Amino acid sequence: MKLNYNKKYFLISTIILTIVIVLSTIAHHIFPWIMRVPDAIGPYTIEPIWIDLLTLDLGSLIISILVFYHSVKADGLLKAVSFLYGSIIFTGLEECFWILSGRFGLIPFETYFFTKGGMWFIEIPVFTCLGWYIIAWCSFYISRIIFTKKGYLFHASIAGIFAVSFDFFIDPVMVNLGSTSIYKNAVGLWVWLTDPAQCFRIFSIPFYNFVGWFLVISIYALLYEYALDTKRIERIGKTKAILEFYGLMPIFLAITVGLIMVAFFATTPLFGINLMPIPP
Amino acid sequence: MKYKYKFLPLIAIILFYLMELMQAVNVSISQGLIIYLILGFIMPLPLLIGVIVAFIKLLKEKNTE
Repeated sequence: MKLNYNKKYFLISTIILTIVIVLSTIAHHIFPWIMRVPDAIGPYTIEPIWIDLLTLDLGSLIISILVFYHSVKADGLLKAVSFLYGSIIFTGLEECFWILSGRFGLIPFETYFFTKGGMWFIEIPVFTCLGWYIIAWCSFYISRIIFTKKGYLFHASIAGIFAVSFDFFIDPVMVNLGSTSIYKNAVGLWVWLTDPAQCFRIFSIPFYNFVGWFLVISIYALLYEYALDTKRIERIGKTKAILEFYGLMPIFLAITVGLIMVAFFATTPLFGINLMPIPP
Repeated sequence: MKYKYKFLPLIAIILFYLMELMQAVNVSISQGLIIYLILGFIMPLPLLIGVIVAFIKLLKEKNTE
């Protein structure tokens, strides 16, 4: 069977990402000391817990397949594959940066960690990466449908606003999910470690998290629209366009992280304030 | 792209939203606090309004074809 360029790209990138996920999953579950995985009980609701984890991973996978199918129909296989794996890598690395740099003392404050996940991408559960993918593609697509005549900078900003509005709801719920668990000492789906006196909070969640959501979705949408513009791909060729897409990723990631840092330190006068606190 | 496929992301995001809303209901019940449900209906309004507007635009697109 002879595969065309796009299918080969899909196959090779799937294999590479699968290897990374398998290795990360083994490291997380069998060798937790490598990444200094904190000891915490996640918000499990079913026993045995592997059924809970499987349901979570499968649920997000099914919705992701729906979204992926649409993106293939809308933008073609090459761009759809790039958006899927690009979003997993971009958001995954951004989150890992905060989690691991906080954990290993590379930044002056601790951030957060995830407590529950079957498959892992470094220190992020795969269902979270897929959640990012679903929100990123849907927000971006909706903004493209509504504002057909606007440019990609506008589409990216609107997609960021859609995503952050959703997170204002998700985050407070997920960090309190422990109360629904079958285990009494269970914590939320993720745990914030940032000292409340050392950050500005909204709904008891650090403000820089919401800034992060807006920036990650907007900047990723910008990168996608710029590097994988259809006319540009025709002009410079598929391979060069893909290489540029992944090659520009570290630069766009650095910009994202830098801007989040700026937002964190810009709110210094508001440290200790918790707008509309939600009881734990 | 076939017309019916254009609705897939709208269906996907609504499914995702309902999954999260279900979790909010569970947390609200277990903690006896309605705040999570209020957040669930108010905060994602920009996104939900976006979904509705996109849905209407897609329906209009069909009617003008």
